[in-house]
Amino acid sequence: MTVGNSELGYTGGGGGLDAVTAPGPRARTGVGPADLERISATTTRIRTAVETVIEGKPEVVKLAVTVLLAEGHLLLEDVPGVGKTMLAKALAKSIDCTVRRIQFTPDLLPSDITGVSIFDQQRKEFEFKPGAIFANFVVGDEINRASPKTQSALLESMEERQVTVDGTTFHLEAPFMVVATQNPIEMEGTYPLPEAQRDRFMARISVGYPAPAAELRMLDTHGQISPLEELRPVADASEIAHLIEAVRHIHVSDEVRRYTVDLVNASRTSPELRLGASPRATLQLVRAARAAAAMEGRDFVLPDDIQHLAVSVLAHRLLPTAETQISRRTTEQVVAGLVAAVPVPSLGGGAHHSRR
Amino acid sequence: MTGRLRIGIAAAVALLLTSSGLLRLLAPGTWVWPIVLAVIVAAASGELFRRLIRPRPLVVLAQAVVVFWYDMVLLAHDEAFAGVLPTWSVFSRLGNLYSTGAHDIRDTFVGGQATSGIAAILVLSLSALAVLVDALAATYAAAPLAGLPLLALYLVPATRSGGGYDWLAFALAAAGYTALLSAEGRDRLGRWGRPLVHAGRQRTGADGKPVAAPKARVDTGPIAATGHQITMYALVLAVLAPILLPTVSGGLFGIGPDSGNGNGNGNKDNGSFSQVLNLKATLASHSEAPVLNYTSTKPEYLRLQTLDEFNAKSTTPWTPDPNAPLNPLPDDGTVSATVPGLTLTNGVQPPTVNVNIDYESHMTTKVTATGLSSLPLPYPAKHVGIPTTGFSYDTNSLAVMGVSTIYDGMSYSATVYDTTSLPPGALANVTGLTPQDMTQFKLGQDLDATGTPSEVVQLAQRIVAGKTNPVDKAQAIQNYFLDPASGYSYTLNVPDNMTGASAMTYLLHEKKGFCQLYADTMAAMARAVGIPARVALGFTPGVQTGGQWQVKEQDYHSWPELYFHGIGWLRFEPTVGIDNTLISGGHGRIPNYSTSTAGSTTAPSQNPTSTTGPSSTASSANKCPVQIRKAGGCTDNNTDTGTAAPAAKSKFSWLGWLGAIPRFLQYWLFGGSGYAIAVRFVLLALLLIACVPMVLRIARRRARGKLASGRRAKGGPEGEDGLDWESADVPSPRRPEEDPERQRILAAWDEVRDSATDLGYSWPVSETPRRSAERIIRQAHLSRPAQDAMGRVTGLAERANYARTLRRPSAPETAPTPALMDDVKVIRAGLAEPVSRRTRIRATVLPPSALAALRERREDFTGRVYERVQGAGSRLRPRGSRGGSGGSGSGESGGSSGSRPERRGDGHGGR
Repeated sequence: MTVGNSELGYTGGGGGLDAVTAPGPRARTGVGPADLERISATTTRIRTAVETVIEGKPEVVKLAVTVLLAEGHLLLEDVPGVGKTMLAKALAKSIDCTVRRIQFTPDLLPSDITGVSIFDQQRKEFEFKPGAIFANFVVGDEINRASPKTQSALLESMEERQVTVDGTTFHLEAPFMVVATQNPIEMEGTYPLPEAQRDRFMARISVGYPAPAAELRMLDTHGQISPLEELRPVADASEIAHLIEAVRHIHVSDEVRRYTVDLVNASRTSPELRLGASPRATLQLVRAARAAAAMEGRDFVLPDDIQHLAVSVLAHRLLPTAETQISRRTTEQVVAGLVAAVPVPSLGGGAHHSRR
Repeated sequence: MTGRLRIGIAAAVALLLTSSGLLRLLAPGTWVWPIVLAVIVAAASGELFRRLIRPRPLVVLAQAVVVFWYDMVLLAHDEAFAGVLPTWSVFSRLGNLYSTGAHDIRDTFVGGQATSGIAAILVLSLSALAVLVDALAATYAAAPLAGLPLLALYLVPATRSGGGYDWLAFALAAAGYTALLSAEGRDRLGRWGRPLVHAGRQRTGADGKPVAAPKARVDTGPIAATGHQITMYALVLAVLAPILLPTVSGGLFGIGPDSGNGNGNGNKDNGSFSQVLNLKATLASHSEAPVLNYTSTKPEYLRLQTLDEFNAKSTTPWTPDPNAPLNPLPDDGTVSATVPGLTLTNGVQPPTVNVNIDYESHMTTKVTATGLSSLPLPYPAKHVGIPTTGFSYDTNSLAVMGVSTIYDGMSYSATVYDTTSLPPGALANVTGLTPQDMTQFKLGQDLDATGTPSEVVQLAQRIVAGKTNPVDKAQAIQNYFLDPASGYSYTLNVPDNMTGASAMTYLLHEKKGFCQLYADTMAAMARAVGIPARVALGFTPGVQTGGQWQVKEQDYHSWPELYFHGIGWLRFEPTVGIDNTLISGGHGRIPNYSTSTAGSTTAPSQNPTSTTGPSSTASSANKCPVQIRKAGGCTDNNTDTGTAAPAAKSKFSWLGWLGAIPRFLQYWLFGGSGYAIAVRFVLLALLLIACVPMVLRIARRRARGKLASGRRAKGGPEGEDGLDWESADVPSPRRPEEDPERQRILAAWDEVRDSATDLGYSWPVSETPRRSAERIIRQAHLSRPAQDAMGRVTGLAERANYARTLRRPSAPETAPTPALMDDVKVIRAGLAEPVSRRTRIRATVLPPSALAALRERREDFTGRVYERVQGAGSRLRPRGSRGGSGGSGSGESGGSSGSRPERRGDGHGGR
């Protein structure tokens, strides 16, 4: 068993890995070049497709696909109008699978998400009407507009990939991915996501404004017809499930694991943070790194992958201290500082101290 | 401890350390403790009043009152009311004490006991200084200004004491002031800046126990550490440099080792050269004061006087002949038309040398007993030209003396015979004394050896045993003293007040002494074997500067003159090391009288006896230091006949097996006092230590090269092509760090990293291999091949570090990759290209990577020691926060330190 939760000495919490069947015989020998090529080809197709909609943001798109392959959920947080919803919808549409979109409003009820049992007059029994969560892709728009109780209805489904209504548990189909957007500017009448729920998102991405050239191109393409309409699926759900399965067998060496733990530990001991990253964060960081490595055609994870993903995966889970907030340091900056400080272990030699 | 208290304490310590210089002025005694107490009282009262009173002038005033009260109780309590309350009489008492002390200071010599008056002055002034320093440093927070009173205090002993600036006193004073500045800087830094360590937050460590929250304070560690280092280097340099500089110049340029400290000679202005053997006082002063200059074609011993009378029981055993036959000097200045007693050369007189002498000293050359002044003059003088009249000459010794003084600025000339180069044939014909000699030269007194210790007589007889020629006998005695095998050494450090007999036994037993002992003993030994001898007083030839020879006070010297029938008086030089300025400070020339007529094959010159005159061959031989001769380094001995070998040859011959070491290094290492030698060896050891990083780096590079170059031979290029990596993708049964292939790659990678670090490229520990490589490629503007090489090595290193298998999964058709170490070489060349020459030299001589490795080892060691100490103390208190999560430090350091101890246990090979 080369992968799994036990590698980090952590077995509780996330049920994501358990939802998929145990690794087959090939899993023991790791991932083959055919798998890598397939991952590479498929993800390239998806990225190309999405990038026809989202101009000039290859990094954002890549990160979104990484989260998809890593079985994570994505939180898109940015000012209005930069294409959060567009990205979510484009990603969903590029894959041939069931997509549901939930517009979160203050009056949205938990049952709208999970589903509700309705009394069938003819059969004289309750019948379960599945909610919007029953899909491969769930696009939650303006997630912070809904009340906390509605938000928390997402919790179980996101983490455990199942929904329990009236004591009955319904399993969700794989792949399952929640892409939520939220707007950090208009905080009036919103309910910011609680820490517990933020922690369930693998990564938080800020789309950001496009470059002037990209914005010009966007004027051309979006002027006539929405490119989203043109978007055709380039992969199907079963293929994505297969890729996810393959990504799990990407090799993570002891050094990289140790590095990840060091990095997460550093966030827990950092004097700039009130709350450090959870063990779930460690897991999801490694999982995301696996996906990133596979997308680059590598069958092993580099510390580079961890470093590259650390800000996106860790920053939204951390709570800064009052001093940090007063000195206007964001948690992104803090994580970047930690990445720049924690030594990268290497085989045999340990961290070398050339300059300090 | 508050910052201000620390400053106050530092100020008191600085004052005490600086005042320790006073111990050089006065002998330690009971006066020390009242001063220490006064400083403590000042510091304590200052701290107390700073806490009680706000306005700073009032603090100083109150402090002054308390300290004055302390002084009063100490010095004038019997005048005070009830012993504690000041009255007017207290002031007059203190005033009296002060004036008494001021009077005593004038009468007290350096190193004397402190009288009560002096002690009172010291206590009063130190009290005032203590209040001043404390007020400046702590109350007014101007510690740098407090250095002024400290400097004043330091200068008191430094300018008064004869020995110049003592290094220990300087080091103590400087250390005290530095401590004061350091305390002040710490306080100042502590008040500003963002607190880096937070208080009041409890964290849970890895073991579940709450980790003690560190106190909120500014972490001044790095700044303080840098400051400490700079200060340490500056202090050590300041202390060492003055010790070294004169010595170095002495070794290289012929200036005496103790030059530069000669201003303390108190009797310089109105002293006189002691005519009655107290050379030691003159020599011990090591005075660089000039005595005279002369122009001459060869170095000349300038004689003042001869001492013929010997009294073994007296503390001044050798005295001038009181009945010397004095003749007035003729108007034409002729002293002696011929060399006295020279008959064996068939009337041929030796060559003459013209000497022009300028006397430049305030010292008189007056003989106390006779009231006559002696003229410094080489022996034997044929003719002298003196500007003043009234001079006479001793027909026996040819010493010129007069009633008028030899004054500063007096110039005179002389024509002297050169008796050091008499033909060996003449010397060989020397026979026993005749009655005519005895009467003509009053040799009876010169043969008087009464009271000479029997062991001296026996030694003399043993030395001359088997020799018939008196010249040979005399030469044997001289050689006995100079022979390294005899073990004699030069020192001025001999007991005072020795009688003639005890001085000789002292020399023979202790085998050390200075010119006076050697000259006296040789003269007595010569007399004991029947050769007339007398002791001459005067100067060694001095140092040649330009066309002139300069004679200084430290060239004051004494040597024996021996009489031979048919030859006359010949000068000998038994003083060991007198020809080596590093040993004795003297500039003597050792004569060598040979009776061998065999001649030499290389240079049948007119000068077959090896003289010690101006010839370069002889002088180079004579420069051989005694220590080296002792070590057997000098193969060319001075008794050898015909040493007129070419200069180059003799230069190398005496080096012998030490020839590989440059000559100046030998001088530098072995010359001078034991203290200087020790300092030099310490320096040499430091130099060797400084070479450690370079050697370590080279050794590492070798080892890695050996390890890495074996890779291709085994792995082979077929690993890159054809081979289905999936089927070959069997994880090694070994642990990855024990896989030899990985070790090879990692060795090459480490070499790249160390090369880059050495050449000044930063390589942060938090950077991944890929990012480091990319950054360095950009920084160094690597050429295309070097970039490719860097890419290959980096890729391999990544796989070796982090992949499960080493096989490259793609690109089977790539060109065959060059050997790993070739890539490394290409990279290193590329890295070295853009950096400055200085950086490249540093990369070779003092490679930072090796330094870092050494530091890491040191930290590792101290860490282990710390753990052991902590483990020993673990019974007393639960294991601290250090081990687990490193929660006590800041986050960054916590993370890094947390990872390191684990790494150690991995059993990493190949390093």
